[in-house]
Amino acid sequence: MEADAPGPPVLNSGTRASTWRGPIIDVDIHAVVPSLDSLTPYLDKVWIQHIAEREWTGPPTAIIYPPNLDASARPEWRPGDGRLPATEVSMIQADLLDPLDIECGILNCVYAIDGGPPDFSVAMARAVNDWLIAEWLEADSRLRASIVLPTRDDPAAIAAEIDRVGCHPGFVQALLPARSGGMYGKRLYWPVFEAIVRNDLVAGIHWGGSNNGLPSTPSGWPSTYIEEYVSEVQVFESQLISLLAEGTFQRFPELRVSFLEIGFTWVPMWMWDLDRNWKGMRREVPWLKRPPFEIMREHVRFSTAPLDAPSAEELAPVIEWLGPQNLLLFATDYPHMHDDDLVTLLGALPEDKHAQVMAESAREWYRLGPATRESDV
Amino acid sequence: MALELGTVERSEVRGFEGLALIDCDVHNDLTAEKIPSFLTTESRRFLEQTGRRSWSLESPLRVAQRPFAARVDAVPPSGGVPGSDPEFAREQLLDEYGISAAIINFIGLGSGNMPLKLEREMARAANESNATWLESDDRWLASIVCCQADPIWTVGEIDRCRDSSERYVQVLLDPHGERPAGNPMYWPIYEAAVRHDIPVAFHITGQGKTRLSTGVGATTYYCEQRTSLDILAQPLVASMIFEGVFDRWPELRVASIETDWTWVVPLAWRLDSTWKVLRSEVPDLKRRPSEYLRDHFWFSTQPGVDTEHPDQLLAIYEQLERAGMGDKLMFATDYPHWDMDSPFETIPRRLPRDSKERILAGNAAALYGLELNNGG
Repeated sequence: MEADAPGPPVLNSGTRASTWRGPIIDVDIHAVVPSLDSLTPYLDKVWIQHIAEREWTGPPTAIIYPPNLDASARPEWRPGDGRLPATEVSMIQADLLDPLDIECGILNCVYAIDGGPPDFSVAMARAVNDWLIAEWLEADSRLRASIVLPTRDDPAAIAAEIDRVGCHPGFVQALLPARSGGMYGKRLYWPVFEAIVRNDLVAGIHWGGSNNGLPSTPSGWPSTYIEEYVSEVQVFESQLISLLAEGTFQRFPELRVSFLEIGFTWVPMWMWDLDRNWKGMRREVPWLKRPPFEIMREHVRFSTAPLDAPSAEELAPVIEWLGPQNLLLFATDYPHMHDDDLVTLLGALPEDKHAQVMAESAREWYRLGPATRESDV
Repeated sequence: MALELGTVERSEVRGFEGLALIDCDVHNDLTAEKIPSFLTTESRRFLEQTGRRSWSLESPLRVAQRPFAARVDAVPPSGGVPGSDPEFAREQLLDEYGISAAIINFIGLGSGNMPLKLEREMARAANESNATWLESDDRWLASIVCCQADPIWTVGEIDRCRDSSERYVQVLLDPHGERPAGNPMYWPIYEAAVRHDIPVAFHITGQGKTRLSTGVGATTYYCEQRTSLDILAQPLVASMIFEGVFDRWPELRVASIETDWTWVVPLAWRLDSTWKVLRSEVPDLKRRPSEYLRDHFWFSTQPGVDTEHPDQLLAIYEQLERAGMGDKLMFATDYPHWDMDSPFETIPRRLPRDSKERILAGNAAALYGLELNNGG
């Protein structure tokens, strides 16, 4: 039953040198807020008092990443001394950045403050972003981060937070939880995308979000996390179709969107489906003057974790169907466990795309600047 | 036990010569005139006074292309609405394409915002009304309309239909239930389907859904919702597998109708790779999740697939074959909807003959126990 368990992290059986010698940019690394105490220095007194009075211990985590499951943190990436995984820069350095010789990593902090009273939500988002700057971005020059956004009920407040920290060179993306409780193509969210474009950032749609009380599937609440995780593709499919159908990319021709932690093997079939429906119903959405798949290729990228592929042979045609442009950005999704093997990914890619997927596409997409040094792994 | 079809027709269309056709998804409209005549006086009065107040789609402003999403030319010359006249449907569908058997899926009821008693009565009325279609031509077969909100009552209705005719060939459910499809609240229905040795089909209902189209809320445009039919089937598959439905009923067969099929192989990969990490959550599962998908689920061809290049179309049929699911795809027209598929323009002529034979009739014949050989 060995094949029924995931291998060692990322490289599986290989070594960094034997698997890939060029630079690596990892577009999905999680930074976890260890506790509310760590945010206290970045919160106004009124909110510290608000929290203390209510004995609030912070947003729930289990609804997004049940803390004790391997899927939420690999056993080898758990400190084992009471500290939570991925809560300090030193953990990420020792587990990931140093051993894999990662040139640059983008931090995504999934923290469920995307609902609730708007003023408190804004205060929490500001605190997390200031914490990310002070304790992560300033601690390791290899790191970049996504801006954590306040409640989606107040798009103006989201735009204000993007404007407040968007000019910081460490922030390259704004993090939009996939379970938004409202599809992102709706005009309600245009001020958000306007702010993202104004600050030359990427919109990162990532697993998570509180979904305004809607169940996580259109057929009701699942029973288990595995059921929910497998099914979650449908949420991203819905967001993708919404962004395309509503004309978001016509309204914001500069907009770049990354789909994170949802794999990509579902994408070509889904886009063919949408293209076919566009052929029959495009009078309804006259701003789409070209097949949606073509438009998508210019505006959307996908992170490679989870890989969701049984073999390089099965994966290769799927990558070919995505099109001649490279839409894939390498990611580990640290500290989460996936059944991912870099050998499978590289084996499915033509040689001339290896460098693009491992680093160069992300460098261009996120405007990361030239390689900081020669890679000589 | 095989159900003998009447005369099996064989196509003469180029590339499909000698092949028989079974249509797994035809819709009729019984609600306007037919259903009330089967209701109690009390329910008829309720319908007259209060009416059906179930919500239609996401917004009353955002409707499908046309009423019943019907072909413009599907209005029967006898009057009435598209899908209301079995004779006209026979001419326009069965005779036109040479279809030897077609399964009627009546999806006009939905659920919620009405008395449960009325929901039950309307489901029974639909099944009784469908009997008139079954009598009109022996090529029609029917799915059993259920009251999904009342599974125990539904078991009795399945028994009643099957006692009346073997041409009620499957149980019809909506993927938009109160709970996902694997939830034990529905297990009595699955037990009944296994007992009668018939499949359970899932097809979206047109009205009164208890859920929005997507897991993140309402769509704005019909083209979004039309594309979103696929997304209902993915949680459906995951729910039924991980709740252990197929370990409980190894004989249960499920047809996911009008939910596309090109997503199936990537979902099989995702099922297995997720299970490798999270299997501790479902320790009782006896097999790899993709094996349940491969062995227990069937899919229909409509809406037909279109790829950017013709070779990609053949490649995804081959991908399905490699995944061991080449015997799970069944042809459907979705008549009389505006986007109905002609068999000869949907199934690629370049597919191997054996593959075309299975998709156009063989797979459905095997699933529904239909005897294809007589007369042919």
